[in-house]
Amino acid sequence: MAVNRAKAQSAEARTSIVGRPVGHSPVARRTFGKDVPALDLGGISLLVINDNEFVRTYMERLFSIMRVGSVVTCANPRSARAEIATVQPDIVVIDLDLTGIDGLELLQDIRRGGAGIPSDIAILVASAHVDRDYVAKAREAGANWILVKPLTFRRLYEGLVNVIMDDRAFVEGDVYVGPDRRVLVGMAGYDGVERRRDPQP
Amino acid sequence: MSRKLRSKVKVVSQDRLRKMEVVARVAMLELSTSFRRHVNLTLRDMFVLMSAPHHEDAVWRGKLHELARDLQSVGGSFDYGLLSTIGEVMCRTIQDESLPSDHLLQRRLAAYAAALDAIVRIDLKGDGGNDGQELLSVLKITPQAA
Repeated sequence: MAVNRAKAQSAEARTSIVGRPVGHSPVARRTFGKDVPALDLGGISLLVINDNEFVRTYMERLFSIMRVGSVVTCANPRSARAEIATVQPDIVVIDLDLTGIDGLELLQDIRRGGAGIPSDIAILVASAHVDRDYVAKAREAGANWILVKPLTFRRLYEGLVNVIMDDRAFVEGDVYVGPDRRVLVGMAGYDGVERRRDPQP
Repeated sequence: MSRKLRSKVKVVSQDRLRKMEVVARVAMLELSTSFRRHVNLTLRDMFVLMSAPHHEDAVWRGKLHELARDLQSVGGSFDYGLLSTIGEVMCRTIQDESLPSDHLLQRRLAAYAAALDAIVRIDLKGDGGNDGQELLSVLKITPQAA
Protein backbone atom coordinates (compact mmCIF):
# COMPACT_ATOMS: atom_id res chain seq x y z
CA MET A 1 0.00 0.00 0.00
CA ALA A 2 2.88 2.31 0.92
CA VAL A 3 4.49 1.61 -2.44
CA ASN A 4 1.23 2.38 -4.23
CA ARG A 5 0.84 5.59 -2.29
CA ALA A 6 4.39 6.64 -3.15
CA LYS A 7 3.68 5.96 -6.82
CA ALA A 8 0.47 7.95 -6.67
CA GLN A 9 2.17 10.83 -4.88
CA SER A 10 5.03 10.75 -7.34
CA ALA A 11 2.59 10.95 -10.25
CA GLU A 12 0.77 13.84 -8.59
CA ALA A 13 4.03 15.61 -7.78
CA ARG A 14 4.82 15.80 -11.48
CA THR A 15 1.52 17.49 -12.05
CA SER A 16 1.40 21.26 -11.88
CA ILE A 17 -1.96 22.91 -11.65
CA VAL A 18 -1.99 26.24 -13.42
CA GLY A 19 -3.69 28.95 -11.41
CA ARG A 20 -3.91 26.96 -8.21
CA PRO A 21 -1.19 25.65 -5.88
CA VAL A 22 -0.66 21.90 -6.07
CA GLY A 23 -2.61 20.07 -3.40
CA HIS A 24 -5.56 22.43 -3.28
CA SER A 25 -8.94 20.85 -3.73
CA PRO A 26 -10.38 20.97 -7.20
CA VAL A 27 -13.54 22.90 -7.86
CA ALA A 28 -16.83 21.27 -8.65
CA ARG A 29 -17.54 21.21 -12.34
CA ARG A 30 -20.46 23.42 -13.16
CA THR A 31 -23.02 22.09 -15.57
CA PHE A 32 -26.18 23.90 -16.51
CA GLY A 33 -28.78 21.45 -17.73
CA LYS A 34 -32.00 23.27 -18.53
CA ASP A 35 -30.73 26.49 -16.93
CA VAL A 36 -28.11 27.11 -19.56
CA PRO A 37 -27.33 30.84 -19.66
CA ALA A 38 -28.00 32.85 -22.82
CA LEU A 39 -24.68 34.17 -24.10
CA ASP A 40 -23.70 36.62 -26.81
CA LEU A 41 -21.18 34.51 -28.73
CA GLY A 42 -20.24 37.25 -31.19
CA GLY A 43 -16.68 37.44 -29.84
CA ILE A 44 -15.97 33.72 -30.13
CA SER A 45 -14.15 32.04 -33.01
CA LEU A 46 -14.55 28.35 -33.77
CA LEU A 47 -12.69 25.84 -35.85
CA VAL A 48 -14.84 22.84 -36.77
CA ILE A 49 -12.94 19.72 -37.84
CA ASN A 50 -15.28 17.32 -39.59
CA ASP A 51 -14.66 15.29 -42.72
CA ASN A 52 -18.30 15.23 -43.82
CA GLU A 53 -19.40 18.15 -45.97
CA PHE A 54 -23.07 17.80 -45.12
CA VAL A 55 -22.40 17.77 -41.37
CA ARG A 56 -20.06 20.76 -41.67
CA THR A 57 -22.74 22.76 -43.49
CA TYR A 58 -25.29 21.72 -40.90
CA MET A 59 -23.06 22.78 -38.00
CA GLU A 60 -22.18 26.07 -39.70
CA ARG A 61 -25.89 26.82 -40.05
CA LEU A 62 -26.57 26.13 -36.38
CA PHE A 63 -23.56 28.17 -35.24
CA SER A 64 -24.73 31.03 -37.42
CA ILE A 65 -28.13 30.93 -35.71
CA MET A 66 -26.24 31.11 -32.40
CA ARG A 67 -24.48 34.18 -33.86
CA VAL A 68 -21.03 32.81 -33.18
CA GLY A 69 -18.48 35.45 -34.26
CA SER A 70 -16.48 33.36 -36.68
CA VAL A 71 -16.65 29.76 -37.82
CA VAL A 72 -13.95 28.15 -39.94
CA THR A 73 -14.38 24.56 -41.04
CA CYS A 74 -11.68 22.06 -41.83
CA ALA A 75 -12.58 19.15 -44.08
CA ASN A 76 -9.34 17.29 -44.01
CA PRO A 77 -8.36 16.02 -40.57
CA ARG A 78 -4.81 15.44 -41.84
CA SER A 79 -4.35 19.16 -42.49
CA ALA A 80 -6.13 20.13 -39.29
CA ARG A 81 -2.92 20.91 -37.41
CA ALA A 82 -1.86 23.51 -39.98
CA GLU A 83 -5.38 24.94 -40.08
CA ILE A 84 -5.51 25.26 -36.31
CA ALA A 85 -2.17 27.11 -36.26
CA THR A 86 -3.39 29.52 -38.95
CA VAL A 87 -6.85 30.20 -37.60
CA GLN A 88 -5.90 30.38 -33.89
CA PRO A 89 -9.50 29.76 -32.81
CA ASP A 90 -10.93 30.19 -29.32
CA ILE A 91 -12.58 26.78 -29.41
CA VAL A 92 -11.82 23.70 -31.53
CA VAL A 93 -14.75 21.40 -32.29
CA ILE A 94 -13.47 17.94 -33.21
CA ASP A 95 -15.51 15.08 -34.50
CA LEU A 96 -13.97 12.00 -32.94
CA ASP A 97 -15.40 9.76 -35.66
CA LEU A 98 -13.04 11.08 -38.30
CA THR A 99 -11.87 8.90 -41.13
CA GLY A 100 -8.21 8.28 -41.83
CA ILE A 101 -7.06 9.80 -38.56
CA ASP A 102 -7.88 9.14 -34.97
CA GLY A 103 -9.71 12.13 -33.50
CA LEU A 104 -8.34 11.21 -30.09
CA GLU A 105 -4.82 11.36 -31.47
CA LEU A 106 -5.44 14.86 -32.82
CA LEU A 107 -6.88 15.89 -29.47
CA GLN A 108 -3.82 14.57 -27.62
CA ASP A 109 -1.54 16.27 -30.11
CA ILE A 110 -3.16 19.64 -29.41
CA ARG A 111 -2.84 19.08 -25.67
CA ARG A 112 0.85 18.19 -26.03
CA GLY A 113 1.45 21.45 -27.87
CA GLY A 114 1.95 19.84 -31.27
CA ALA A 115 -0.62 21.93 -33.15
CA GLY A 116 0.93 25.40 -33.02
CA ILE A 117 -1.64 26.81 -30.60
CA PRO A 118 -1.68 27.05 -26.81
CA SER A 119 -2.19 23.55 -25.43
CA ASP A 120 -4.88 24.85 -23.09
CA ILE A 121 -7.24 25.82 -25.91
CA ALA A 122 -10.86 24.87 -25.28
CA ILE A 123 -11.83 21.66 -27.06
CA LEU A 124 -15.36 20.43 -27.63
CA VAL A 125 -15.59 16.94 -29.04
CA ALA A 126 -18.54 15.31 -30.76
CA SER A 127 -18.98 11.59 -31.10
CA ALA A 128 -21.63 9.09 -32.05
CA HIS A 129 -20.05 6.64 -29.63
CA VAL A 130 -21.94 6.68 -26.38
CA ASP A 131 -20.19 3.88 -24.53
CA ARG A 132 -18.48 4.79 -21.30
CA ASP A 133 -15.03 3.61 -22.42
CA TYR A 134 -15.02 5.90 -25.42
CA VAL A 135 -16.21 8.90 -23.43
CA ALA A 136 -13.57 8.10 -20.79
CA LYS A 137 -10.88 8.01 -23.48
CA ALA A 138 -11.93 11.45 -24.77
CA ARG A 139 -11.86 12.77 -21.22
CA GLU A 140 -8.42 11.27 -20.62
CA ALA A 141 -7.20 12.83 -23.86
CA GLY A 142 -8.07 16.26 -22.41
CA ALA A 143 -11.44 17.22 -23.91
CA ASN A 144 -13.28 20.03 -22.14
CA TRP A 145 -16.70 18.74 -23.07
CA ILE A 146 -17.96 15.67 -24.87
CA LEU A 147 -21.01 16.04 -27.02
CA VAL A 148 -22.88 12.86 -27.80
CA LYS A 149 -24.61 12.90 -31.17
CA PRO A 150 -27.16 13.55 -32.60
CA LEU A 151 -26.15 17.18 -32.98
CA THR A 152 -29.17 19.28 -32.12
CA PHE A 153 -29.19 23.06 -31.68
CA ARG A 154 -29.63 22.69 -27.94
CA ARG A 155 -26.82 20.14 -27.52
CA LEU A 156 -24.38 22.19 -29.55
CA TYR A 157 -25.29 25.36 -27.70
CA GLU A 158 -25.00 23.72 -24.28
CA GLY A 159 -21.68 22.21 -25.33
CA LEU A 160 -20.31 25.61 -26.27
CA VAL A 161 -21.59 27.25 -23.09
CA ASN A 162 -20.18 24.47 -20.93
CA VAL A 163 -16.78 24.86 -22.59
CA ILE A 164 -16.83 28.65 -22.24
CA MET A 165 -17.93 28.59 -18.61
CA ASP A 166 -15.62 25.71 -17.68
CA ASP A 167 -13.78 27.10 -14.68
CA ARG A 168 -11.62 24.09 -13.92
CA ALA A 169 -7.90 24.57 -13.65
CA PHE A 170 -5.72 23.38 -16.50
CA VAL A 171 -3.39 20.54 -15.59
CA GLU A 172 -0.10 19.88 -17.36
CA GLY A 173 1.58 16.65 -16.34
CA ASP A 174 3.61 13.83 -17.81
CA VAL A 175 0.64 11.56 -18.19
CA TYR A 176 -2.23 14.00 -18.59
CA VAL A 177 -2.73 17.44 -20.06
CA GLY A 178 -6.15 19.00 -19.93
CA PRO A 179 -8.82 20.38 -17.64
CA ASP A 180 -8.64 19.18 -14.05
CA ARG A 181 -10.62 15.95 -13.93
CA ARG A 182 -11.03 15.89 -10.16
CA VAL A 183 -14.52 17.08 -9.39
CA LEU A 184 -15.19 15.86 -5.87
CA VAL A 185 -15.89 19.11 -4.03
CA GLY A 186 -19.44 19.29 -2.81
CA MET A 187 -20.23 15.67 -3.53
CA ALA A 188 -21.68 14.09 -0.38
CA GLY A 189 -19.97 16.77 1.68
CA TYR A 190 -16.54 15.45 0.77
CA ASP A 191 -13.93 18.10 -0.02
CA GLY A 192 -11.20 15.82 -1.36
CA VAL A 193 -8.65 16.51 1.40
CA GLU A 194 -8.17 12.83 2.25
CA ARG A 195 -8.50 11.65 -1.30
CA ARG A 196 -5.00 10.33 -1.83
CA ARG A 197 -4.32 9.07 1.67
CA ASP A 198 -4.55 5.46 2.80
CA PRO A 199 -7.71 4.55 4.68
CA GLN A 200 -7.37 4.25 8.46
CA PRO A 201 -6.81 0.68 9.68
CA MET B 1 -8.34 29.28 -20.46
CA SER B 2 -11.98 29.85 -19.56
CA ARG B 3 -11.32 33.27 -18.03
CA LYS B 4 -10.11 34.49 -21.40
CA LEU B 5 -13.08 32.88 -23.12
CA ARG B 6 -15.56 34.27 -20.61
CA SER B 7 -14.24 37.76 -21.24
CA LYS B 8 -15.29 37.36 -24.88
CA VAL B 9 -18.93 36.64 -24.13
CA LYS B 10 -21.63 38.41 -22.22
CA VAL B 11 -24.81 37.13 -20.69
CA VAL B 12 -27.91 38.25 -22.55
CA SER B 13 -31.60 37.73 -21.89
CA GLN B 14 -33.14 34.27 -22.11
CA ASP B 15 -35.56 35.73 -24.67
CA ARG B 16 -32.71 35.89 -27.15
CA LEU B 17 -31.94 32.22 -26.64
CA ARG B 18 -35.60 31.31 -27.03
CA LYS B 19 -35.77 33.27 -30.30
CA MET B 20 -32.68 31.48 -31.55
CA GLU B 21 -34.30 28.15 -30.71
CA VAL B 22 -37.39 29.08 -32.74
CA VAL B 23 -35.19 29.99 -35.72
CA ALA B 24 -33.25 26.75 -35.21
CA ARG B 25 -36.46 24.68 -35.28
CA VAL B 26 -37.37 26.15 -38.67
CA ALA B 27 -33.82 25.59 -39.91
CA MET B 28 -33.91 21.98 -38.69
CA LEU B 29 -37.01 21.35 -40.78
CA GLU B 30 -35.21 22.63 -43.87
CA LEU B 31 -32.09 20.74 -42.98
CA SER B 32 -33.99 17.50 -42.42
CA THR B 33 -35.37 17.82 -45.97
CA SER B 34 -31.81 18.31 -47.25
CA PHE B 35 -30.71 15.39 -45.11
CA ARG B 36 -33.26 13.04 -46.67
CA ARG B 37 -32.32 14.20 -50.15
CA HIS B 38 -28.63 13.73 -49.39
CA VAL B 39 -29.14 10.24 -47.94
CA ASN B 40 -31.38 9.18 -50.84
CA LEU B 41 -28.76 10.29 -53.36
CA THR B 42 -26.02 8.48 -51.44
CA LEU B 43 -28.10 5.30 -51.31
CA ARG B 44 -28.88 5.59 -55.01
CA ASP B 45 -25.14 5.82 -55.78
CA MET B 46 -24.52 2.89 -53.46
CA PHE B 47 -27.06 0.69 -55.26
CA VAL B 48 -25.65 1.68 -58.64
CA LEU B 49 -22.24 0.45 -57.44
CA MET B 50 -23.67 -2.67 -55.84
CA SER B 51 -25.58 -3.57 -59.01
CA ALA B 52 -22.26 -4.33 -60.72
CA PRO B 53 -20.02 -5.52 -57.91
CA HIS B 54 -16.26 -5.67 -58.34
CA HIS B 55 -15.15 -6.80 -54.91
CA GLU B 56 -11.61 -7.34 -56.13
CA ASP B 57 -11.35 -3.77 -57.48
CA ALA B 58 -9.76 -1.37 -54.99
CA VAL B 59 -11.30 1.64 -56.74
CA TRP B 60 -14.79 0.10 -56.54
CA ARG B 61 -14.25 -0.69 -52.87
CA GLY B 62 -12.94 2.83 -52.25
CA LYS B 63 -16.06 4.41 -53.76
CA LEU B 64 -18.34 2.12 -51.79
CA HIS B 65 -16.42 2.86 -48.60
CA GLU B 66 -16.82 6.58 -49.18
CA LEU B 67 -20.59 6.21 -49.49
CA ALA B 68 -20.91 3.94 -46.45
CA ARG B 69 -18.72 6.30 -44.47
CA ASP B 70 -20.90 9.23 -45.48
CA LEU B 71 -24.05 7.47 -44.24
CA GLN B 72 -22.25 6.54 -41.04
CA SER B 73 -21.31 10.15 -40.47
CA VAL B 74 -24.59 11.88 -41.31
CA GLY B 75 -26.61 9.15 -39.58
CA GLY B 76 -24.87 9.74 -36.27
CA SER B 77 -25.30 13.50 -36.52
CA PHE B 78 -29.00 13.41 -37.41
CA ASP B 79 -30.36 10.89 -34.93
CA TYR B 80 -30.29 7.93 -37.29
CA GLY B 81 -28.09 5.84 -35.05
CA LEU B 82 -28.77 2.66 -37.04
CA LEU B 83 -27.44 4.28 -40.22
CA SER B 84 -24.31 5.08 -38.27
CA THR B 85 -23.99 1.61 -36.73
CA ILE B 86 -24.58 -0.34 -39.95
CA GLY B 87 -22.55 2.17 -41.99
CA GLU B 88 -19.59 1.61 -39.68
CA VAL B 89 -19.84 -2.18 -39.91
CA MET B 90 -20.17 -1.86 -43.68
CA CYS B 91 -16.99 0.26 -43.81
CA ARG B 92 -15.11 -2.42 -41.87
CA THR B 93 -16.43 -5.16 -44.15
CA ILE B 94 -15.33 -3.24 -47.26
CA GLN B 95 -11.85 -2.91 -45.77
CA ASP B 96 -11.69 -6.62 -44.98
CA GLU B 97 -8.94 -8.11 -47.13
CA SER B 98 -10.84 -11.34 -47.62
CA LEU B 99 -13.84 -9.59 -49.20
CA PRO B 100 -12.81 -10.34 -52.83
CA SER B 101 -12.88 -14.09 -52.17
CA ASP B 102 -15.35 -14.43 -49.30
CA HIS B 103 -18.88 -14.88 -50.63
CA LEU B 104 -20.42 -14.65 -47.17
CA LEU B 105 -18.88 -11.20 -46.67
CA GLN B 106 -20.08 -10.16 -50.11
CA ARG B 107 -23.65 -11.23 -49.25
CA ARG B 108 -23.41 -9.37 -45.97
CA LEU B 109 -22.37 -6.25 -47.81
CA ALA B 110 -25.52 -6.45 -49.95
CA ALA B 111 -27.60 -7.04 -46.82
CA TYR B 112 -26.10 -3.97 -45.13
CA ALA B 113 -26.97 -1.80 -48.13
CA ALA B 114 -30.54 -3.12 -48.14
CA ALA B 115 -30.79 -2.46 -44.39
CA LEU B 116 -29.56 1.13 -44.79
CA ASP B 117 -32.22 1.68 -47.45
CA ALA B 118 -34.93 0.15 -45.23
CA ILE B 119 -33.97 2.40 -42.30
CA VAL B 120 -34.49 5.49 -44.43
CA ARG B 121 -37.68 4.22 -46.05
CA ILE B 122 -39.41 3.43 -42.75
CA ASP B 123 -37.76 6.38 -40.99
CA LEU B 124 -36.22 4.30 -38.22
CA LYS B 125 -34.72 6.95 -35.97
CA GLY B 126 -32.38 6.60 -33.00
CA ASP B 127 -31.62 2.98 -32.13
CA GLY B 128 -34.91 1.94 -33.74
CA GLY B 129 -36.26 0.34 -30.55
CA ASN B 130 -37.39 -3.28 -30.96
CA ASP B 131 -37.37 -3.01 -34.77
CA GLY B 132 -33.80 -1.75 -34.64
CA GLN B 133 -32.71 -4.59 -32.36
CA GLU B 134 -34.38 -7.11 -34.63
CA LEU B 135 -32.69 -5.62 -37.68
CA LEU B 136 -29.26 -5.73 -36.06
CA SER B 137 -29.91 -9.26 -34.91
CA VAL B 138 -30.82 -10.38 -38.46
CA LEU B 139 -27.61 -8.76 -39.68
CA LYS B 140 -25.69 -10.43 -36.85
CA ILE B 141 -24.48 -7.06 -35.58
CA THR B 142 -24.16 -6.43 -31.89
CA PRO B 143 -24.24 -2.73 -30.93
CA GLN B 144 -20.97 -3.21 -29.02
CA ALA B 145 -19.30 -4.53 -32.16
CA ALA B 146 -20.20 -1.37 -34.05
